[in-house]
Amino acid sequence: MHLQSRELVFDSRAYDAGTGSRLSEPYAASLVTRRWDGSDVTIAFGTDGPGGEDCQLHGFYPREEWGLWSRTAEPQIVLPFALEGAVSLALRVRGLGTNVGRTIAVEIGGQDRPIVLTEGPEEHRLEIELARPANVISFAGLDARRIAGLMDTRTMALGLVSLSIESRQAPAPRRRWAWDAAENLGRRHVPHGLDGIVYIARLDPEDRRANLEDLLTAFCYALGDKEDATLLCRLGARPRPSVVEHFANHLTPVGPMKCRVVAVADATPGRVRKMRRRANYFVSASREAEEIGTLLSHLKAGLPAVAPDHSAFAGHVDAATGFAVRASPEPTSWPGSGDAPLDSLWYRIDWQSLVDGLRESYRVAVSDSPRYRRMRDAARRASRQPAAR
Amino acid sequence: MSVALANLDLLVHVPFWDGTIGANLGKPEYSYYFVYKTMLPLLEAYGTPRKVERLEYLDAACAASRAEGRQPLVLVFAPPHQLPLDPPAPIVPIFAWEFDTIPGEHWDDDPRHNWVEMLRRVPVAITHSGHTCDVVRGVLGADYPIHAIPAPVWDRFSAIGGAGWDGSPRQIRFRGAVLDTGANPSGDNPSGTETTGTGAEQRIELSGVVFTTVLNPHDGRKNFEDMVTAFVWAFRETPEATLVLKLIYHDAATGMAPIRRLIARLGHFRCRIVAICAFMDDDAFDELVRATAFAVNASKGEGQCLPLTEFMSAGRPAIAPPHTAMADYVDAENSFLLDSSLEWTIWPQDTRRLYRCRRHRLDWDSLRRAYLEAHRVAVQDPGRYREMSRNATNRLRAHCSTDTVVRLLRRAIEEACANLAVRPAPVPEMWNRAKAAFRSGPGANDPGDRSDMVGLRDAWLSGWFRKSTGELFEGFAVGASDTVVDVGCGDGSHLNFCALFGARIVGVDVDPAALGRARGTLARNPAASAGFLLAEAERLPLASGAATRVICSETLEHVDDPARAVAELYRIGAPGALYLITVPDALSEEQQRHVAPPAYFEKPNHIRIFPRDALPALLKDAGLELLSEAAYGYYWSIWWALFWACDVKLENPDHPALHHWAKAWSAIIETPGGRKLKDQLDRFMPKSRVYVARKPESGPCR
Repeated sequence: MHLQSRELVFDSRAYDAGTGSRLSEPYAASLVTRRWDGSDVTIAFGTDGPGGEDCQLHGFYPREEWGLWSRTAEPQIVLPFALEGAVSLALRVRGLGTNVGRTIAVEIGGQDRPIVLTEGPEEHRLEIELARPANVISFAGLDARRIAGLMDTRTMALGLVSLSIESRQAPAPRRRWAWDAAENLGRRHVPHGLDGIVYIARLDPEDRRANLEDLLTAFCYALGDKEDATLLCRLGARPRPSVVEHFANHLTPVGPMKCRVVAVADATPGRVRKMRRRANYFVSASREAEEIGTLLSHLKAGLPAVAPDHSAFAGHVDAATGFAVRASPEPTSWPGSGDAPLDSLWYRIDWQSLVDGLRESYRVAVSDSPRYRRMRDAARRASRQPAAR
Repeated sequence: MSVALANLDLLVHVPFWDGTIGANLGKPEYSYYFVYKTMLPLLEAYGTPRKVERLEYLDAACAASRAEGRQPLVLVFAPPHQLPLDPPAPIVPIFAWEFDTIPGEHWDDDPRHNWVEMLRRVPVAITHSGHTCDVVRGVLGADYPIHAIPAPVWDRFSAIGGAGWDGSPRQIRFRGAVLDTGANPSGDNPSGTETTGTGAEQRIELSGVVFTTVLNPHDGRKNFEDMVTAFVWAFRETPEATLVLKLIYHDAATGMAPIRRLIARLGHFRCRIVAICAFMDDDAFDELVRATAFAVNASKGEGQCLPLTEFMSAGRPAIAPPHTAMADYVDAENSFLLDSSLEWTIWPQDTRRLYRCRRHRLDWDSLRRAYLEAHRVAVQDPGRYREMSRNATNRLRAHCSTDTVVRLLRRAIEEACANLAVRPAPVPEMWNRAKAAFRSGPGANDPGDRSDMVGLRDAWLSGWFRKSTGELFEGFAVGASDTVVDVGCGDGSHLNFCALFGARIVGVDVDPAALGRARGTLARNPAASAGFLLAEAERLPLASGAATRVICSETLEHVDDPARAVAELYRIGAPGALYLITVPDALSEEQQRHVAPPAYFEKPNHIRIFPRDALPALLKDAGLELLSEAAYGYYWSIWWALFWACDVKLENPDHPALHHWAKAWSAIIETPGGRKLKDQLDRFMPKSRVYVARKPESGPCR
């Protein structure tokens, strides 16, 4: 089957593996959601600054009061609209550590402009004549290593405070391009086919219980060298744009890999059924079995599971219906995080056992079809029985 | 050939010496200092080891020992990436490691991060665990000479263990900060009382079943969080259970903060938590050991775990996971074992922060159960407790008594002596290696005064490798929009510099081996798009106008037809392209001619000497516009002359004359008139002449 542009939220193949985790321009273009009418735009990146709610910040740490710090050597601002023609950009930025006094490049639409980073925030005005529409502003040439001797071990290099955009053309031309780019460029450059051995997961990346980190790292560790292995993450009907950053954050330390990680928004029930039919396994690294319904619906569809066998999952996931992942309890706070009281227990996943389950399930899908068929049948049967706890 | 032990001169180096350790507590290297302190007395068997306070002094120390007719062997208590690249004598690293792989690649342009290569160049390596030996041998071969030698702590601690733990009250006095939740029978005030300030005199009394751990709270691998939470979950209603966290940290306020924050999240509990942040003297620490019933460890990996070996030597059973170094001495007869599995992580020194190895993820519930079982044994089964205590001290005697360690050290040093001649250091060509090393350090522009970097500092002062401006040489800036072709690229270090600034790069060389090395160099630079071509300079398989930057460094003196080669360089440049061309200087070459072996001036080496005015004419004739001309490298002219005179191998240019020259030049360029003098001498007899040229925007079509 093929994934549709409008349901695709993240695709690891759209990332430029050579430079860490930089979004390719066509892929960024596919994130355009609205038109720019040429009016002035100001985005303050601090937590209470105005604007930029739908702007994607790629390769940065979370917003702080004053703005935000870059995380990678080539961070990007992805605008929800495309800029065209003659524009003025006013960027208020600062450098940290060895980046103070460093000349870095600001790139937009295939053009780059040098700026020299300063110790404190300073505004840089860039006049750019865009030959083609562009919605991504990239930075290059940063020294994104940890700063020796600093308690903060983040890889901070560039501090981004604000961005103002003005069009130097009047009247504003008709801007149809953005939509075309999303439809055409996005479709042409992102490999949307869904082939090979597909693991389907259903999760909200911002829900700590869903444990996206273990799922992604174990998947890439177990199957990183398999070109035909795909992890398909269903994010629900309307995922927030910021979820992309969760995928990027967890995949950056993994580096280049051959397997594929895709995240999709649920479009229609029909599409969901189609994906479920296309998949080979259901996979979960959940710390709590709150979504027992999700597991059951996938078992019912004949998908063996690679999932923890704790709490409500117990009795549904075993050697007959899939690959049980070990887990054991640990304290947590509910529902908050940070300094909230540790007043309940959830599960800590045995990461290596998740890796083992993924590797073995892949082997079975590729070269042990009798066993795979037995698991499919057992999965369908198990979904009809109440859990034996 | 081996070196007789009697003729051996041991030199030792450790990053911290006595005077500085207090201020550095908790920093990564601090445990190296403690290992050094415990091993030093045992090294006296080989004569009094000479302390080398700074690695910069190593040259002089080795020269002195050779002057006495002795063979220097340097023991460095530091991980492999902190060893000098170019040691004046064989070095034995003594290091700790707890992950399941070691780096076989480098980053930050510092080749020393490649442990595999660094370890290949030492006569033996010493680490502290069988785990690390297995990991290293897994990469370097089953016969790789690495020795697991723990710090010899057993004798001192078995003596203070006495009759064993009995739960009676003990007083501990020290100066430092304490956070004590108290026995707190009501459980109403779990955040406890806190005295901060390193100067405060403290007296605490410990009794009952005391669990103790010694750790740096800011070292994530130690995992105090699980230790504290599992303790409270096990003993929420048990007032006589105490957890002591002896924190190793140089600043009490920062050291205590994460413990305070965690305790505030634990709600009501009646057991007691005592956190101590202080540098205890031996008496106080011994008393803490005596008050302790169990030593606790919940870490994700250990290179050795000195505190655990100390407490167990004193007959204190452990609660610990039997992985990494602990697998050598923790077992079910002397400890309560914790379960763990593996997880992906980074090498801690890797600034790229890429997942490259695995560490252990603890099963928290197994720790909670182990606390309960240990408590039960201590309170209800004194026979079993005494048995485990005996087992602990006996197992640790075999593991880390002075007798054991003396024997292990002797074996390692004997093997080092036997290997001194057997394992020469196969290092890449010195100049190129030094160039690569130059770019190490935290974003350094200026290589500073490190003695192994004299040549690089000299080059930098002459205008090379200007990182802040992206200039490979003054006037030759490289940026992300450039395509750089290096004809005669050698090991690719010039290209590597260009790649750092995002340029597309193409390396050309006639030597397949050099291209292989260049590929290796550039493979480690993820920013580059790189291509490599095996070709002669006179016939470049590249499109006309393909390059915006062309490098041809120390190559034209090798080629048969320089005019044709320059014409090719011209052809591949785009209009406006910049050129960086260097050739050896005529005077320096004339001088080498009298001291170098004849092969130096035969093909494939230098087959011509360019008179000083030859290159400008050659470039102009080809159509290039000369922008600047410079001369540099008096230092290298003399270095090479000495090199030939000393008759040493290029792979290991180890001779006092060369070391002294490097030191002398390093001192000269730092004198008040040094730069001026360097300038004059560089003009007088440079190693090379450097030309920056440009292809005119509209030039003759060729």
